Amino acid sequence: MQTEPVEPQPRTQAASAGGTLYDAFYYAHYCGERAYERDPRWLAFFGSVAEQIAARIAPASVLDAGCAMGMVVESLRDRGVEAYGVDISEYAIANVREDIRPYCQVGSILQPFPRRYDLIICIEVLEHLAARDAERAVANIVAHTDDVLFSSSPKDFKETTHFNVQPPEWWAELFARHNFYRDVGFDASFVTPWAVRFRRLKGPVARVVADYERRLWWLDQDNRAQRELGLEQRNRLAEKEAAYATLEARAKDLEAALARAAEQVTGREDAASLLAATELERDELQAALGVERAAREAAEYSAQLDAMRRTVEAHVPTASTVVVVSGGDDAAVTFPGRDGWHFPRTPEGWHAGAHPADGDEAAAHLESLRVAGAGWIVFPGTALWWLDAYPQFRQHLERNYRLADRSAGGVLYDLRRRVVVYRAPAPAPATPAVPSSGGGAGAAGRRVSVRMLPERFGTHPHSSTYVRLLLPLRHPSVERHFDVTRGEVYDKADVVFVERTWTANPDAAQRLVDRARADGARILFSIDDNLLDLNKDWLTTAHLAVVKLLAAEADAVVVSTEPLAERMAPFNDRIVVIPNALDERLLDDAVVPERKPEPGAPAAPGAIPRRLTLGYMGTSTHDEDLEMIAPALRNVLARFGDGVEFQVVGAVARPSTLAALEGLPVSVLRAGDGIEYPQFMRWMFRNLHWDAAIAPLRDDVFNRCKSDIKLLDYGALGIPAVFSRVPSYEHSVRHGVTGLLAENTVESWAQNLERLLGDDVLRRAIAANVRRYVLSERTLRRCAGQWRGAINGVMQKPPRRARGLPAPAGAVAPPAPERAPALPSTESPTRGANAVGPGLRALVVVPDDVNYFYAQTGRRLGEALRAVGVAADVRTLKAVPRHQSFDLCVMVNLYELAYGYGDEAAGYERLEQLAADSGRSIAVAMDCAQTQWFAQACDLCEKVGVGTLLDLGLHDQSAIAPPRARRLYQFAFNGLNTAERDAVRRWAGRNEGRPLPWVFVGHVSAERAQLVRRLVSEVDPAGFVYMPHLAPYREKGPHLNESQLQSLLERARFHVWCSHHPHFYMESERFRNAALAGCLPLKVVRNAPDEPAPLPFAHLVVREEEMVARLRSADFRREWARFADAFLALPSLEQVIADLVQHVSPAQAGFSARAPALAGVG
Amino acid sequence: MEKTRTRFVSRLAARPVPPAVRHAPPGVTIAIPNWNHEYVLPRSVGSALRAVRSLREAGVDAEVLVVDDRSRDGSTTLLRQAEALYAADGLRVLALRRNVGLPTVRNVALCEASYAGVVFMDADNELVPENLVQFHRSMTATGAAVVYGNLLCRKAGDRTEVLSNESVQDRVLEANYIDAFALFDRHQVLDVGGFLDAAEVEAREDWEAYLHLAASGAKIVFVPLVFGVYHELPGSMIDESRQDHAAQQKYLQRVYDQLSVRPRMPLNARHLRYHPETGYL
Repeated sequence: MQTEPVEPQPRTQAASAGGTLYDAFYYAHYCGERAYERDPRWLAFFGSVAEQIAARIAPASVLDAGCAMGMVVESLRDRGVEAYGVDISEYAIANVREDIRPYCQVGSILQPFPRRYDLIICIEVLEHLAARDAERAVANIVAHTDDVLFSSSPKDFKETTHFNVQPPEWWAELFARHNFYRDVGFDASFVTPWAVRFRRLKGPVARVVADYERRLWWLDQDNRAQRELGLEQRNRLAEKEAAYATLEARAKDLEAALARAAEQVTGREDAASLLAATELERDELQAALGVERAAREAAEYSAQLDAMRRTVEAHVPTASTVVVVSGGDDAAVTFPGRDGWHFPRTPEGWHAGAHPADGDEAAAHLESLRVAGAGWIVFPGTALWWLDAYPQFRQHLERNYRLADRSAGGVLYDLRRRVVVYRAPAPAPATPAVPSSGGGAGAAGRRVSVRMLPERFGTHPHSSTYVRLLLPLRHPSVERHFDVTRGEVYDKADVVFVERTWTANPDAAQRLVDRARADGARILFSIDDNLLDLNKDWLTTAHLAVVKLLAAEADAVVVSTEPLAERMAPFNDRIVVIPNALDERLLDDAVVPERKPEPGAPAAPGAIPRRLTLGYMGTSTHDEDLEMIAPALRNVLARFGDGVEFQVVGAVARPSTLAALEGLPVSVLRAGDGIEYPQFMRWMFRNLHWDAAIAPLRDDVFNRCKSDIKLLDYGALGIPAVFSRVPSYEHSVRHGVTGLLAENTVESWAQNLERLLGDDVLRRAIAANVRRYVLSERTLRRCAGQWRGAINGVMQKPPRRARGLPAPAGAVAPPAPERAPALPSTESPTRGANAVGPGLRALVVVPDDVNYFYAQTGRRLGEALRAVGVAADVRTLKAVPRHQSFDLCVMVNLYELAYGYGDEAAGYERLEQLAADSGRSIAVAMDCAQTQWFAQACDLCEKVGVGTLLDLGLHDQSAIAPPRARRLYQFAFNGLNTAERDAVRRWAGRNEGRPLPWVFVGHVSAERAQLVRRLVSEVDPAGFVYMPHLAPYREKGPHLNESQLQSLLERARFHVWCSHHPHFYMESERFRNAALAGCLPLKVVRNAPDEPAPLPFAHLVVREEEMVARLRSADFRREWARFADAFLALPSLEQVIADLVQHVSPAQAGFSARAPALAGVG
Repeated sequence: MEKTRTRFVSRLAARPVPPAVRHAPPGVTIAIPNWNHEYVLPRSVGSALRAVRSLREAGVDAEVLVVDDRSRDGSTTLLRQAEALYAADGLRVLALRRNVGLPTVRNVALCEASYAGVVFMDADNELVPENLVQFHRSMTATGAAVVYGNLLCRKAGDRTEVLSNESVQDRVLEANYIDAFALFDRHQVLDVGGFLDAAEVEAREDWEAYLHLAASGAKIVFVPLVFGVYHELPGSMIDESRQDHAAQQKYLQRVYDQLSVRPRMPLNARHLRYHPETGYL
């Protein structure tokens, strides 16, 4: 829809282009996005424009200037408006609808129109004209109308025919020049967004301004409202976005949580299934283990029962009753040839089903079973816990019965007789129980007077009197301690030794008791046979009354066997068992024939190479015993024919016995009537050359208490023998080793006799063994001390009060004996140290695996004791045999002894017993007297009844010992023994060039750390330092043990130390260790010692301030020589011990074992 | 920082030992980790240099390696100057760019040391220079992973205590009484992954390392000589390490004796005492 000037205008290119410019190509391609043609869309558009014009303007006549194909004219006409069109394009006008063509013509809008119109429309036309033509066209339009609907693109610069694209205000201004103004109330946007209705102004301009202002205000308001809305929406959007972000984050969190939860659920499920699987596996494993354990336990149980049965068969005679501590299993109480009972047990013989409430109940139950006939009790391996769980029961067994076996087969006790153990009454506190009449044997050199009242038997003492009284008390090892007199009547003495049936008159016995009591004398009653149960033919009622009276009234009863002790126990609470022993002096001229097989003789068992002699020795009291085995003897002698001769020494009185031996090759030897025991023994040694012997003994209530004296006699002669398996022999004869044991049956005797007679090798082996046993274990040289111990023991107790008599003054609570004041002895140390204590038996008890240096000290003391002739034994407390007494018992560190025993209380009890059983007991301490350890040692001495606390050290501490220690205190110099002195001498000139400048060892303390700091920084950093925490000095560490310390000190020049407590003390073991290693000891002290007495090695004690200078400037060779010489000049340990032993006595009086004056030694 | 540590340790654990470490020649590196201890460095470094001299005189190669853990007190300047002056005497300084913590510093020292033996010495410690030769001899003779000796601990008021004064006892699982101030065979320490940097063993990494070595069958040998002096200062680590003992002990118990079977499986390292002049004691 382009209009061109109706007349071509040469001035402009456009005008000159005229109507040819707007041809078909133009309309097809230059009218926007789609071709301009009569199509329904354009027709609809122009229809709506015409509709708006007709409705809103309602003109009567309209001219469309630039009508193109006349579609507006057509639409207006269709709506009854008188419309015309003009356009410069002939092509366009040619395409006007047929019926409208008369109203549209080709022409220019610059040319005046033929008439006026109500409205002229000019739509998108004037931009095609040059600006000037456009102005002319506007002038032409406004000349023909008052109302213009105008539109011209303000922005389409791309259209090539748009010569005059102008903004709206340009057109507004152009029209305004013609007094045409926008009708601001008319919205012409139904044509184009920029279309305007211009109308000729008929009123004042102010109205136009007002209209514009109204419109502007409205637009401004609209704009503001739009902006506010936009802002509001923008804010709401921002809020929404923020909320969205939060929600998104939350969603993410929730998703993650969900994922985790899912994972956990999965994990938990996995874990649960894993756990379930594991539990299943574990259950299976446990079940399998349970089966295996049950099998193993069953096997173990069965093995333990087997072992127990073997033990029972080895020890328990057939036809005995064995009580088995069982769980009710009948298999456990089944033994071949023996009765087995459950323990605990119902009267009907079933297992009682419940354990005893306590040990006392168990013991009572056992006693009732014993009365019912039980002879043995065995604890199989499964029942050993009983001994721990019922300590009273264990003690009951240990105290009353013999332990027959302790092995894999369990623990077996022999219940057939009670072992009566002497239980010393608790020592009276504070006041030593010592008689005023002068203490015991050896007190300050005083001898104990002993009055012996032997049994009267013809004109000379009975052989048992020799064995039980005369020989032991006159033995050289104890003789000097006693003044022994012998007689038939009482005479005043410290001890009255009454034997058996000393009198047949009970009144005389009572008088003896009364007189002895009145004199404060102790009564010892000696008995070696069970006279109480002897055939009445042999003993009158009066004799029996005497025995009972003396047994009851004596201060102690001395018996020869444990069964006898048990038998006598109801009469006296102090029974001392001293087994018989041979006096070795009687054996001196005994010639024991060598029993070699004859040359060329076959040695096979059973072959008789020469005529053997089988012997029997016994008084007529033993006829029944001989008669018992006569059938066996007859069988064997018959079997060996002429090969064996039978000799009898003694008397056979009973006709039935003689009859039993009738026809056998028997010869009787007689030593001569009335011969005394020593002469008989000598005769025996000269005349008996037996190849074998027999000692039958019936098992009856009398014989059960007899001793094994035949074993001693035969053993001393080196004669192998067959013994009855009865209590007298079965504990001392080791079957097959020191003799053969035969059950008291014909078969067993015959079998054992044949074995002995037929086996030359066995005979010789037994002969050698039994002789060695008797000579080493069963002679007075070894055993006489027991007699002295018994006398000392009874002397240490207050005498019993006579009935009806007032207690003699001082008898009950004697005043404490005077002690030698603790002053330095002036006695020469060089006195001969040898053989001062022969015959003495000593025991040194050492702690078990605590601080090794105490055990070491004990061993050194034991060696020193042996060096001076004392038979000394060194044992730990656990290993000390019970029921043995010693002349001297040395206890090294009481506390550690009890500690090392395992059970402290039991340890102290054991020590107390040892002290009571020993002639003299001494506790050894190696501590500073001002420390709590020393105070503890004092307390313990009183607790266990030890009278002397021996301070084994380098200097006498009596001046600084606590007051309560003064009664106990005794100093002994811890000297070097002979071997150690040799070792020290060997270092001379050989101990230089050592790699370690100094050694510092000991448990850690602040003072020691300080000292080491100075040694490292001021003396030599290369010193050896080992300061572990406080712990016992056990062999296995953590401290260095003796040999490690020794090897260390042998590489060091100085052994430096200081005490771990503030008091002064010279640690003797440190000095000794250093000396043995060729190393110089240097004791560092905080302050100068306030010891008044001169110290040995004082030059090796330095204050801390002097230590550095001392070590730096030391002339090692010279100082070593000085130290070694000083040590060697001091008394040896043997000398110290010799002094100690010289004065051993059971009395509480002091003795001196002191070092000599030490002045000048240091 | 935490990440750095973890990364370092895991790297150390995951990677094979670097060739230079594997083939380290015999000798001793005295490693001094330092963090803000400028004040006491002259004493420790001085004693270490004297020890180097003493070792070299005995024919043993040696050096001092100070690893500065990003000190902010001027230590680095001092150390660089000292390095310039004493390089010929064997002083090397390694200044880390970031603070990584003591256990990692020790691990760095293990990797950076020139020699097979490494002494870990805190900046407030002092060596007894003359004795290090004997410790080196002991290590060579026993094949131990660690040899250590008595440490004299100087405390306030001129008091002295002794630390590290015993061979390894059973109670090593209950208390840490062996200080890290000792001579280590770094091959063996690296074999077990060095020192662990974990919160569970904070300030007790040495204890963990000892247990790790012992559990791995290595020997830890006590030599009865004085190794050095520990000068206790206010705020020393030895004080810090007293905290949280129970929790750490529980942790280590769980790691090294979870089933409480050590009494039946005693450690190889248990109760080893050796002195070159006496042999095993």
